Amino acid sequence: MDKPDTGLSPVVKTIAYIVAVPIATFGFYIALHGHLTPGGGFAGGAIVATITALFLVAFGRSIIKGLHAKAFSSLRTLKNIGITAFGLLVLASLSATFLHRFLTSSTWFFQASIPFGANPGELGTAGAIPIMNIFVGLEVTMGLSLAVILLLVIGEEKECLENSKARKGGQKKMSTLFTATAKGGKAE
Amino acid sequence: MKNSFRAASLAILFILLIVAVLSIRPFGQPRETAMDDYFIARAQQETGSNNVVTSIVFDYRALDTLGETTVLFAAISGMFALFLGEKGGKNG
Amino acid sequence: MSIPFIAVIILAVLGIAALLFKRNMVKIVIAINVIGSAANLFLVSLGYRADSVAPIFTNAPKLEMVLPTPQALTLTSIVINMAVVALMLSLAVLFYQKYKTLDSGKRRLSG
Repeated sequence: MDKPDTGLSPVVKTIAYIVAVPIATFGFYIALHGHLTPGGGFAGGAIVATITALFLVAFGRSIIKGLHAKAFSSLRTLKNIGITAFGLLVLASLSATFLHRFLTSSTWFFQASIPFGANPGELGTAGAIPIMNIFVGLEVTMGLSLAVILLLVIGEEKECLENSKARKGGQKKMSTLFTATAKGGKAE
Repeated sequence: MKNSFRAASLAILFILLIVAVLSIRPFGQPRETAMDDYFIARAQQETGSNNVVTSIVFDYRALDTLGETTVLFAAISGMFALFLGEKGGKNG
Repeated sequence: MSIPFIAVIILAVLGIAALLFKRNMVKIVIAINVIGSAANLFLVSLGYRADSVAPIFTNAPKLEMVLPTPQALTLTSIVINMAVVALMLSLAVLFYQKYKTLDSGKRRLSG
């Protein structure tokens, strides 16, 4: 690592900013319409997580130096929120026969009825399935983003997360933890 | 020597798989379709979802999907433990 | 003779051949991914019914549909495959950082 990796040319960076919005919209569309069209939470979450990979490629590792440790742990928190909410929904569904009847008492929450057979499809149907799609999409998005970030962070030797604050609890910086892990294999 | 042994075992595996696929049913004609016909016929009434695959993943087999997301969660947590974990062990 | 099952066998044998003959860890990870893709293709082709459409009622042209359960299981399999590949790739990165090589025959992880 002779010189700092600052990413590709300004053209690529600008195009990355422009393209990120349609990608996010498409991912949200896929995740929200999981009960009407092919797709669902997993596919939509994977699509949204490609924005992270796109920015990491376009901006290089310099974007990681600007990544605050608090933002990093908030990604973790969102992932945990996603899987916890999804698990609670599934466990709550055990008390009902089917999830469609789980939220049936409310009349405004994805509860419109659909005609049976082939139909044009309406967004506000399917009961709890869109909600579970949203939470699964949250979990998959944050999980895959964290996976990509971790696989790239570990390649950076010293500067990664340099300006990050100390994590809560212990007084160690994340960069210290990282350096300890990366240099662990060297001979004493 | 070692490579020829591996190649021979691979060829035997290939022949066995070919024999297996010659005795399988023809493509496009599944035999046991009672469960899937039930899902196709009843998924709209019972779950309200137009997409039968989604209604199976998130409704009929929701516990299966919970286990699947748990596997994903465990994999990401394993990456955290590998990359950012505390220093420990004799090799650190 | 059915072409998709032959394709499944070719994919699986290619993956196993790469597992047997390659020692680069990234290639091993790719081989495991290919084997997983073979399993996914086998599941999906098991669920195909001739002259049918995808099991989605939104603007469906007709009501004869392929089997939905193998597709749901394939969705599960894809996600688990992805998680396993991510974990194996991170192990490969750690191996490279420790030993400066990707050859799995050079060093053992315990050393």
